Formats: sequence, structure tokens, C-alpha cells
Amino acid sequence: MPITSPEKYWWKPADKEEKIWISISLLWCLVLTVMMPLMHFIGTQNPSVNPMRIKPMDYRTISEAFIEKYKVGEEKGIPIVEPPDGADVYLRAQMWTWTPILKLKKGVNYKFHISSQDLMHGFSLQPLVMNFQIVPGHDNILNMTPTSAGTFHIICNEFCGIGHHTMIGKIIVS
Amino acid sequence: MANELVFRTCPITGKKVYATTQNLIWINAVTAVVFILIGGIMAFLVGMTRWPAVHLLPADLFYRFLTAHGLNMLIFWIIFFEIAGLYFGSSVLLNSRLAAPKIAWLAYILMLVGAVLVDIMVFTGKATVMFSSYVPLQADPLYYLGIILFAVGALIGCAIFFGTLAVAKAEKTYEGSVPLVTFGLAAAAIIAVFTLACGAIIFIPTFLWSLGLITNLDPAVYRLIFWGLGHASQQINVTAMVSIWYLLAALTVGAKPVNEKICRSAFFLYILFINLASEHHLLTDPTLSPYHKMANTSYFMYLAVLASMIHALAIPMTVEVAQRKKGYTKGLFEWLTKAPWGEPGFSAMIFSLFIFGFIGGITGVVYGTEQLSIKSHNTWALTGHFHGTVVGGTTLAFMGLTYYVIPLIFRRELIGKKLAVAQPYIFAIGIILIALGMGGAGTLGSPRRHWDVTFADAVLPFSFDPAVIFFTTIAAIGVITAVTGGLMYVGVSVLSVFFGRRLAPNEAKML
Amino acid sequence: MPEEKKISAWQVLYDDISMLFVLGVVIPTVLYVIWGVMEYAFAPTFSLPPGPTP
Repeated sequence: MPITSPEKYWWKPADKEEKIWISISLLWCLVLTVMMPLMHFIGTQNPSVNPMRIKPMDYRTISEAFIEKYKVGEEKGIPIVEPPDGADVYLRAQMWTWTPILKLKKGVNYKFHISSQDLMHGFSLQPLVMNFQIVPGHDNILNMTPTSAGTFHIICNEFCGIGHHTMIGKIIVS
Repeated sequence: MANELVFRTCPITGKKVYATTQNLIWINAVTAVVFILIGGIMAFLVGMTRWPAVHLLPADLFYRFLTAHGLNMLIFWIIFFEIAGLYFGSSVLLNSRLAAPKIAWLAYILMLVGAVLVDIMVFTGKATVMFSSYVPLQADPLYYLGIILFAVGALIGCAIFFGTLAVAKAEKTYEGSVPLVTFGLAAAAIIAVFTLACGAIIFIPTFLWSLGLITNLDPAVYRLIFWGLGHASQQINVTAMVSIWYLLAALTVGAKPVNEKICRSAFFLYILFINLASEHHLLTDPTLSPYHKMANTSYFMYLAVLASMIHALAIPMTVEVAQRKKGYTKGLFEWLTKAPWGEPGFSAMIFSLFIFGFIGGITGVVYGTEQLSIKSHNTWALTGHFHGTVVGGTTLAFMGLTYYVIPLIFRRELIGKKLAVAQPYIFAIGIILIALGMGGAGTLGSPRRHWDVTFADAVLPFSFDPAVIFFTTIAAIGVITAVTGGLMYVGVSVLSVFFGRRLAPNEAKML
Repeated sequence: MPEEKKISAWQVLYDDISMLFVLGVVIPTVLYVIWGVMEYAFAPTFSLPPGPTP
């Protein structure tokens, strides 16, 4: 019984069925172990690989300069920015907006820098459902290439206070 | 104060049950049930708010009650029950007196004071910070103090468990190795020590930060160490739950482990590697390197997953062997069809195993890869995953065990046996609907911890694929079903514990 | 009298709860906590170039 002590010598060879099952399971574990690093190096969809800390105030300065330089309009008080091809793109999360609205081109690679001014936020690109944790004091650096045209939205999926559910951003790809 | 050496002998198992142990198991288990009641009411309110057709609570109360739901369920209900389980696994199963029962009472009081303090802070709106309380979102200092008191109390509870193992060994109350269930619970206690130590490492500075004594607390480092507590505490649940599967298989069909070596090796792999899975939360974080992510998120080459695969074979196998010995040998599956499906301990064990493995476990391994985490991080699918593991798995197993603890340890006859028989079925159906609904909506992008998935108040207009609302409705139906099952559990166990007929000293009755 | 069979070393290890305790605490502490904290501690910090912003 599992509630009484086992016999004195319980270290015994497994049965054939057990051995087969454990071998299959171990093999599958090894396949998984190889797959993740393999996809990291040959795949094109990975989380950030560039470590970078950045003070929220410094990040604000850079992202404001970025907005001022490439601003092309405004929607409901949020600036619309169209950066040149291949530019560094700054997307700032703060309670409860994603600033600015971005106009990007299909097939062009952009280097995104996403960071937060205040609390944790969750970058969640819709309807593609791609999610990244946005941490104040850290720069989440991601190389992104839009592969289809259209309007995409960014919702926040990390609780950031009472207005969390109103936090929406936009990316327009043409 | 009862004499520490007073005991009775269980008429069914022949185990010595010491009065001090019995009282401590009683108080911890009853307290656990009070917290699952609070958490269950919160589950209903939160679930009905997520459902756009009802949208019950205003935003502030929703986030407040969601915080309360997480803490009361994931921490208070589960850990109080586990402490009761640890006292059972050491003192009762080893026929030993409990080491230092007075200190065990101190541990209980610390945990209770901590839990009550946390609940007061959360319900008065001074700590609407979610279960994870990510820095720099700040709660009242008393909230962090409550968590610290609770963790210290639970840590002392683990120490009592290890102390009792030492007492039993020194006083030779058993021969050779400890029983398998005790070994599994020892694995759970070892995992718990790492978990609670992480809690202390991070919540003490956070407490000082909330008092203004520390200013530079890095949010990313907080996340790293917090999940050493937050996720690893769920690994305590996994390990305790698997031990309870073995226990329930023994109590309901008389199953005996087929190969002790195989079962214990699986627990050994849990001890070594399962806590690395805290990394699952950090896969889309900035700054942390892919090497740290890949080494840890794979539980070190998926060896802890191998352990779960071993249990997934070993437990049904013990049941099959025990049933075939009883003569159910016709065809491939007579052992299963003639199993005691009317015993809540058996049905709870099978559903727990099924939901944990096929819904909670598989999604956990898939979402826990570096690349696929991008698709699931912080979506409602994650919430579906851990409702499959913690609720469908651990909670259901604990519920099933309760129906045996009441007659065997508390010596009361169950009131409402028919309700108890139906309860695991209703609860399991509810949880399956919740997990599938959340999984479906989350895969389409629905976020976790979100008051309004219709985005009525958002500055820029946005709406989801309508299928999100469909899946949310399925989850809401699941919430109603599971809460019904939960209330049946609370009703049966509370009524039986307080008003059930007292069993005579030699009455060998289980259900 | 038959000779005492030797108990397997693995069985001895599994019976030694304190050894399991050390392994179970040290492995995640080193691989997860210490390694992780070191990475955060040694991550580079971005600094603005002096003078007017770009």
C-alpha cells in the first residue's frame, strides 16, 4: 500500500510496459529539448534578445523626440507618427495609453523599443495575438516586420490600475 | 491541553491517530474550507462580470474581488489544506507523535493572522494589486506584512513536518523507507521550502519599500523572484495532488504501487527540476537572456515533464492491477467500467487526473515554450491553463480526499452522501467548461484580468472577433456549474464536520 | 544464514530526505534565482548622450 512502508528491497527493475512508456516519454522530452533552441536560432519569431535597462525619464525624452520628429497628425489627442523605413520606433506605455499611433509600411523592418513610464503593462497586438511584457526601467527591444496591411490594435493585458481596460493603441500598416 | 501521547487506533487502516495531530488537521482543514467559500463567492462575482451579458460588478469592485479570488484560492485554501495534509502524511501515516504541536499551533495562528490581514486590506480596497502585486503598483504595507506572516507560518508548518519525520525515524515507528504517500508529501514540503523562501526574499524588501525605507526596487527582479513564490507554490500543489492520487487509489480500490522505484523516481525528478518552471512567466520579458529562459522553462530538458508522464502511467496502472486482482478481467476495460464510480474519492481522482493532464498539463508545456509564450502570455488562455491544473487538478483531488478525512480522521458520518457522490461530476464539468471557454477566448486574444472585453469606454474603438463572446459565455456557464459544485462541497463538509453522527470507536465505516 | 543483500545506492539516497532537501533547494536557487538576478545586475544601462537630444 502507498500508505505503509514498502518491502525492504524495493529498488527493482521495471516491467516491460513501464520501460516502453518511459522510453517513449523520454524520447519525446528530448525532442522538445532540441526543438526550442532550434526554433530560437532558425525561427523568426522570438522574444527580445537585447538586454537593456533604461530610466523611465530617459525613455520619455527619447520617445518625445521621436514623436516630434516624425509626427504627421493626431487622433483624439494621441499623436500619429510615421517613421522612415528601418527607423528605431519608440512605443511608450503609460496609464492608460499607448503613445503614439504608428504608421508603418508593409515588408519593412523596424526596431521597436517598448517601455513603460509607470507600472507594468502588457503589449498585446490584435488580432494577431502577440504579447510582450512591458516593464518600467527596461527596454523591450523587438525587430518587427509587418507582413500584411491593415489596422492593428494594441490592448493592455497586464493589470495597470482602474483604467486598465480602456488602454488601447493603434498601428496602421500600408 | 491534551496529552501529546494520547492516541486511538484507526479501525480501517490500523494507524495510530494522535489527538494533537487530529486537532491540528481539523483546524487547518476547516480553515481551508472557510477560505474556499470566500474564494468561491468571489469566483462567481468575477465570472459574472467577465460575461458581457451580465457584467455584474463595477470596475473597482471587479479588480478588488479578482485580487481576493486569487489570494483566497491559490494561497489560503490550498496551503491550509496542504499543511493539514503534511501533518497527516507525517504523523498519521508514520504512526508517530507530531513534533512540537505547540509550535504547530503557533504556525497556524501566524497563517491565520496573515490571511485575515491580507483579506481585510484587499476587501477595504487598500490592496487592489492582483495576486502578483507587481512592483511598482503599491499596496498598503499591512498587505505585505500579512503575506510575510502567512509565509512564515507555512514555513514553520513545513519544519514541523520534517521534525515529525525525524521523530518517527528516531523512535522507530516504521521500518525501512517511509510510505510512498509520505515520500510524495516530503517532495511537496521540499518544494514548499524553496517557494516560501522566495516569498520571504522578495516580500520583505517590498514591505520596506511600501514603508518608504527602500526606493530602488527593480520591477523585473521583483517579477523574477515573485514567480519563484507564485508559480512554485503551484508546484507544491502538483506534488501534493499526485501523492493524494496514490492515497485515493489506495482508499477506494485498494491499489498498491506497481513499482516503488518508478513512482519515487518521478517524485525525485519533481524535487530536482519542477521549480525551474517559474520561468514560464518571464518568457516575453525584456533583458533576461534566452539562455536563462530556455534552460529554466524546459524544467531542465523536460525532466519534470517526464515525471508527470510516469505518474500518468503509474496511477491508472495501480488501479488496473488492483481491479484485475478483484476479478474484473473481462476484455480490455472491465477494470475501468466496473470501478467504483459512485465513490466520490474515485471519481474525483480520475477527473482530477484527466483534467490536470489533458487540459492543465498539456497547455502548460505548450505555453511554456519561448516562442509560443508570445501567443499566450497574459491572455485568458493562461487563466484557462491554471484553472485546469489548480482547480480541476489539485482542488478536485483535495475535495475527494475530504470525504474520507471526515470519517477516518474526524470520526463523523457524512451528511448528504448523495450530494457528495454527485459533487465531483458537477465540479469537473464546470471546470472543463471554464478551462475550454477561457482557452478559446484567450487564443483569440481575450486578455486576463480585464473588466470589459467589449472596450465600451476605450479612447480608440476596438472590438474582438465575436467568437470571443461565445467562448466567454461557455466559461460563464462553467463558472455557474463549478460554483454550484463548490457550494455542494462546502455544504457537505461543513455540515458533516459539525453535525455528522459521531462514529463509535471501533466503527469501521468509510462512506 | 543467507548473506544480507546490499540496498541499492539510489534507495539509500531516496531515503535520505535531508539530502533531497539540499538538492531540491540548491538547484532552483542557482539555476533560476541566482543566474536570473546576475543577468539583471549586469545588464547594460542606456544613457542619453550629452547635449541636445537627437
